[in-house]
Amino acid sequence: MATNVTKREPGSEKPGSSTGGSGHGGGSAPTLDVPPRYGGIQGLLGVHPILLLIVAAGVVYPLIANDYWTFNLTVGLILAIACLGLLVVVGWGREISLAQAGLVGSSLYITGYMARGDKPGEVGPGLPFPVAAAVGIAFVIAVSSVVALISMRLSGVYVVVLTLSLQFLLENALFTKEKLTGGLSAPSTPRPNFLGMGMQSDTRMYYYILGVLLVSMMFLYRYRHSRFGRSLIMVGVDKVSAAAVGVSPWMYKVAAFAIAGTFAGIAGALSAPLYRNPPGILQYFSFNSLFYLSVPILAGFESIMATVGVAIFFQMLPQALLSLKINPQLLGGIGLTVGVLAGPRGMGGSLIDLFDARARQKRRAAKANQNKAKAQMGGGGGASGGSKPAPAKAKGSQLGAKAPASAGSEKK
Amino acid sequence: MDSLTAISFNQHTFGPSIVNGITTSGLYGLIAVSLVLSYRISRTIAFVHGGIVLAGTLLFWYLCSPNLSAGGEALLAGSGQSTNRPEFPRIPTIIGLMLAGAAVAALYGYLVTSTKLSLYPRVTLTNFALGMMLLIVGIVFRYNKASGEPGPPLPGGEHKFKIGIQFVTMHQVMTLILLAVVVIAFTILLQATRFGIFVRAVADNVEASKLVGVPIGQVGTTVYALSGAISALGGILLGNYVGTDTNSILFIFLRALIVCVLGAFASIPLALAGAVTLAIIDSMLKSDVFGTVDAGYRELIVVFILFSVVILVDRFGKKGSSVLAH
Repeated sequence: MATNVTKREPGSEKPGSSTGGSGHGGGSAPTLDVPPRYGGIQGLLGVHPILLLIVAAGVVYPLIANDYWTFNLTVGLILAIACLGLLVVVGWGREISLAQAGLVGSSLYITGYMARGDKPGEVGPGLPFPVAAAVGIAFVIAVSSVVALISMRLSGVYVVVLTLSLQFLLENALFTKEKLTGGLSAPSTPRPNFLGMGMQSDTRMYYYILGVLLVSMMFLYRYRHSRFGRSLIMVGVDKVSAAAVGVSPWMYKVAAFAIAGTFAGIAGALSAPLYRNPPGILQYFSFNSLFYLSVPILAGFESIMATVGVAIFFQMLPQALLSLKINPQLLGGIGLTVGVLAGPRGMGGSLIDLFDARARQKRRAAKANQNKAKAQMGGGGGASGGSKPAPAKAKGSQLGAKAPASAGSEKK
Repeated sequence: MDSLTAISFNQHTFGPSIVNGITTSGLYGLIAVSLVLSYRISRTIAFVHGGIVLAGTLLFWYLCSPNLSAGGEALLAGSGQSTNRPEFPRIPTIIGLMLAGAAVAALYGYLVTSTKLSLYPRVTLTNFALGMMLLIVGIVFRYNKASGEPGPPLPGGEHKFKIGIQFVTMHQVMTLILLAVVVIAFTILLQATRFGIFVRAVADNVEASKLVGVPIGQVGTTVYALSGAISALGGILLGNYVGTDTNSILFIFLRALIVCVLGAFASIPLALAGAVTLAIIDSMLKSDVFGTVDAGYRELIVVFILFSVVILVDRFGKKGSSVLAH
C-alpha cells in the first residue's frame, strides 16, 4: 500500500510536496515530520566526526611514528581485515569458524609462491601480484565455500568441528610444503606496484593496506545495510523465521563463509609482500584461529569500527608491553571470555552508547522514570501532589519509532 | 611413481598397525568420553577440556619427569631451560592433577549451568568454552618449559612386550585398562544410581527435568567435574604417546572431537567404536599399509571420512534424538 509522504525539516514553511511525482495533482499530500537522524556536524558530513578523526589519525600516523611501530600497525590492519571476515560469519551469521588463521596462512603462502619466480633460482610461476593474489584468494574462497556447503545444513556444533578439521587439514597439507612456505631458506616475495608506484617502503605499503581496509569497511557497511546483509542477520537470529519469509538460511550462511574467506584471502595476499620472506607457519596454527575469533566477539557485532579497533589493539598491546610477555593466546582468551560476558553488543556497543545522543537521552529518561517510581513507592503510593515532571522527550524524537532489532539479539 | 604400484598392500605392517591403532584408541576414547558426557548435559562442546588436557600433559611432565644427568643439564644450561623440576611421585601427582582438572571444569560447569550464562544461546556458550580453553592455553604457554620431550609413563609403564612384531608398552595397555574402568564405572553410575537417572533426564529433556525437581545446576556441575577429571587423566596419559609438543596435544584433542562426531555425540559406546575405527585407520595410513601416504593426504582421508559420516548420519540418521537436529 503506497502512502505518499515526504520528509520535511521541522520549521519548514513549504507544504510537503511529493518528490516522487505522485498522481495526486496539486492537492495537499499528507506529510510526515521526519526529523533528520543526525544533526550538527554528523548530519552535515554523513559520518560521525570521531570516525573522521580516527581515519585522519591513521593517515598521519606514519609521519610521527618510527618504522617499527608503522610496521606493527600495518600488521594490525591486516589482522583487522581478517577479523572483519569473521564478523560476518560469527556476528551476523551466528556460526563459529575455527579456520580463519589457516585460511589467511594458505592465501599468504599461495600468493607468495605464485608471485615468486622472477629471479633465477626462485621456484614459482612469477605471476604479477594482482593475479597471484587472485589465485590465493580464489583458493581460500573455494575451500571455505566447500566446507560451508557441507556443514550448513547441520547444527552449529558440526560447523565448529568441521572448520577445526579444515584448519588441521591446511596445516598438514599446505603448511608442510616447503616450496610454498619457503622452508629453511625462505625466498622473498616482491612488493607490488600500485598505479605505477612501487611499494618498496613500509610507509607506502601501510597506506596501501590502509586503503584496502577502508574499502573493506565501506563494503561491509553497505552490505550490512543492504537487503542481503539484513537477510543474513535475520538468518543468524532466527533461521526458521527467515525461511518463513522466503530467505534461504542455507544460501546466506554459505555466502557468509564465502565473504569470510574473501577477507581471509585478502589479508593473506597482502601479508605475502608485506613480510617479503614467508613468516613461520606457527602464526597460522589453530590457536591463532581462536585468537582471531576473540576479536569480533570482544568488539561486538554491531560496529565494524570496533572490530578494527580491537584488532589493532590486540596487535599493538603485546608489542607495547613486551616486558610482560603477553602471548596472543592469553589475550585472545581474555578477549573471548570478556566479550561473551559483555554480551553480543560487546565493547563496540558500549562505545556506541557513549557517543549516541539518543541512547543517552533514553538512559536519562529511564533513570528519571525509575526515580519517579521509587519516589511514588516511598510516598505511600498515593497520588503525588505537585507537578509531575515532564517526561523526557528527545529532541527530534520519532513518534512511534522503535529501535531497530540489533544484530545482537539472543534468539539463536 | 607408477600409478599402478602407488596403492599397494603391505601385509607385514597390517597386523602391527591394528595393534598400534587399538592401543592409541584408548587415548581418543578417554577424551571422547569426557566430551560426550559434557555435551549430553549442555548440548555444547566443552572446549575447556582441551585446555585441561594440555595443562594435564605439561604439568605432569613438569612435576614428575626426572631431571637430566649432570651432562644433560650442562647441555641444557646454555639453552635457558630449567632443569630443577620437582620430580614428585607419580600416583599422588596424577590424583592431584585430576582433582585440579575437576575443579576447573566444575567452575566452568557451574558458570554455564547455574548462572545467567545458562540462558545464553549455545553458540555463545561455545564461544565461552573456547575462551576458557584459550585462557588456560595462554597461561600454560606463558610458563611452559617443555620443548617436545615425552612425558613420563605411568608407574610400571616402562615395560614393553611384543604382540607379533609390534612392541607395546605397559603404559599403552594401562591406558586401555583405565578406559575400560572409566566406561564401566560410568555405565554403573548412569544406570544404577539416582544421580545417573538425573543425568539421563537432563540429557533427554532439560525443561521436564526442571519441572520434576532435578537439581540441574548441581547435576551439571558434577558431570563437568567428572569429565574434567577424565580429561586431566587423558592429558596425563597423552604425554608419553605424543610428547609435550602443544600442537600434537591439540591434534589428539581434535581427533577425540572427530571421534565424538563419528558417534554423533549420542552415546559413549558409539564414541568408543568411533575411536577404535579412527585410530586403526590413522595407524594404517601412518604405517604405510596401503603404500606411502603423505601427511596431507592422510589428513584429507580422515576429513573425508568425517564429512562422509556426517552427511550419512544427516541423511539416514534418526532426526528426533540426533545431535544433528537444529
